[in-house]
Amino acid sequence: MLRYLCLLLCSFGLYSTSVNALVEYNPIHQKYQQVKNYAKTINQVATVVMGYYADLLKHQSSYAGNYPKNIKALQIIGAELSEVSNDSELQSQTTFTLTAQLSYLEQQKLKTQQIQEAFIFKLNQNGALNQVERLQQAPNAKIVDFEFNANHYLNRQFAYSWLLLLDGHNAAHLNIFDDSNANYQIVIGANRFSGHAREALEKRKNWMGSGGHLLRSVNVIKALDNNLQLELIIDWKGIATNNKWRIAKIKQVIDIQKSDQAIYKITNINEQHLLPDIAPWEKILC
Amino acid sequence: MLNNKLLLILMLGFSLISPANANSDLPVLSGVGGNFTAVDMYNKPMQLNDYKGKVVILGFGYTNCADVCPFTLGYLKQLYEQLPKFAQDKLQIMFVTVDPEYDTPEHLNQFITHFNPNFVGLTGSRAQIDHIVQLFKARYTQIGGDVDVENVRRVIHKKTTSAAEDKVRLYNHSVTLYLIDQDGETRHIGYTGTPKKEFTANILSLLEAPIKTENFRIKENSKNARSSAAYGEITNLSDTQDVLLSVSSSIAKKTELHETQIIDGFAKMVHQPNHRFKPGQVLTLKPMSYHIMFMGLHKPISDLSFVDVILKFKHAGDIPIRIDLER
Repeated sequence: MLRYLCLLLCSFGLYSTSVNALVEYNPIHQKYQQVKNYAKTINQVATVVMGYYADLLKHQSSYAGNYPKNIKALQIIGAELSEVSNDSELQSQTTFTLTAQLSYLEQQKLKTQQIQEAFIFKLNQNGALNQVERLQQAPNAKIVDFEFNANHYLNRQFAYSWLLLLDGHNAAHLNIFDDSNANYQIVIGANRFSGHAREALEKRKNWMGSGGHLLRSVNVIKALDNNLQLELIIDWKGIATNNKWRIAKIKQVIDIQKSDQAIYKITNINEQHLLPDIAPWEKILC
Repeated sequence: MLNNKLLLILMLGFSLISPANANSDLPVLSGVGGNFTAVDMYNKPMQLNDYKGKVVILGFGYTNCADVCPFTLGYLKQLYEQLPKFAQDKLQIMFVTVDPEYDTPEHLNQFITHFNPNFVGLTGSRAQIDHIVQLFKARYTQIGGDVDVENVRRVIHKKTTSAAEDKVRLYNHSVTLYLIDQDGETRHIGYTGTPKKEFTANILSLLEAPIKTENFRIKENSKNARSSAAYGEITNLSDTQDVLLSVSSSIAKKTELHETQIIDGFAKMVHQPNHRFKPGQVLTLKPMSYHIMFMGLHKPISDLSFVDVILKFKHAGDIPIRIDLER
């Protein structure tokens, strides 16, 4: 009998080994890992850069000496994420190169400048910013709309850090938002569920097991005193719990109360899944 | 003895457990579609979940549509006819009306049957239709007011029972065709502008081919050889008999399934046309037995790194195999 039990356990072992091997070498799984890593990198570095420019526009930046004084607005017009590479200390690093136009007041005259700078990150140190290098600088650029102010960057800093949380990464150390009292309503096709933010996120994993969220747009729907309502449009790719490759176009409407410490206290999140933009003709009516 | 049998059953059971059959690259479109209820063209209540195990193509329209609906159903009719028999058996085409007040089950039945009796038309209450439209992120709007029925170009004329039915409504509606997998999840969207070849490939990617080919190989031979042979295994995974109608390749004048038979003491290679495969049957192709024969090679086999062959089955359709050269 013991012999049969051993054989039985062996057959279980062999089966689970082959399934694990299948998951490991499955091309869908490999694709999902690439998406997950890419989204994490983008959201990590973008959170830092948005916070960096928000500080600059609030005149609270330790790097202010590298920029004109009294900056009124800054608009990012180009961004490029270089390949992740290893430096001599075997620390993974990546470079985010941004081109921006800025408007500033000098002797009561509005002046403009175009800059290009590289943000160098150590990814294995929680995405810490290691260095900022000025690559180019030229005067006489276009005047930047004043809507590209500190709040514009604070909203995006919040959005990118929120996506890190959605992907299951710890964002608490960033101290950007607080979701401890947030309600979350989610509609995925015929499925509707709601609850406390963290509980709803757990249930959400049944449809969106693991993957990467990428921000497409942030719109301010309402901004009154400390109350803010943002609409985020997000693309998601990943695998569901049934091991199928899955994509989503997500609309989230998020209600926020800004605290005195500039922390975004989330009160409510409303999420709907839209038809992903995979065909240019999909909105045609005949 | 009983324990031995039990153990064998358990082990066989585990070995039969396998992940999803079809290995499609098509992603699930999150939040697009889901289970719904409606009334089918046989006046029976239905739900999408009744069709689990089948691939579904779902589109919206209405019987008084003068332009895109007849065109779409014509497109779907051609698409359906191009599929191999096994895929036709595993596919359900659904047409959901956006005009449920006019499109009764009986009228819808006449309209749909005009294109293909295997398609199914769905109607129901306005609330049911609006729910389906919302689930699939589709849209429709009524155009203007009521129109005299004589002014509408229609495929099928409704047998009207009241004067009110002589007035009809016209709609704008989404043209999207939703491709839904065997678990009821939407995997792709297409429309009548999607090349049929592409749509067919997407449908087939969601279905497990009922014929499995494995371990195929072809041996390198002399530069001057005018013929060659390939070996491997062909398994009929379906529960119905299938017939191998032909074998083709571009590397030789003729490609056929042959069997080596000893006739009067001599080994002869005999062509096996219309070879039948019983359900579950494995045909092993090996030297001195069955093999794929390439006759009148266009170039020496040694100049190639692989050979593409198509096995054409009556039910399973075209099964492509890429055979690597064994050097």
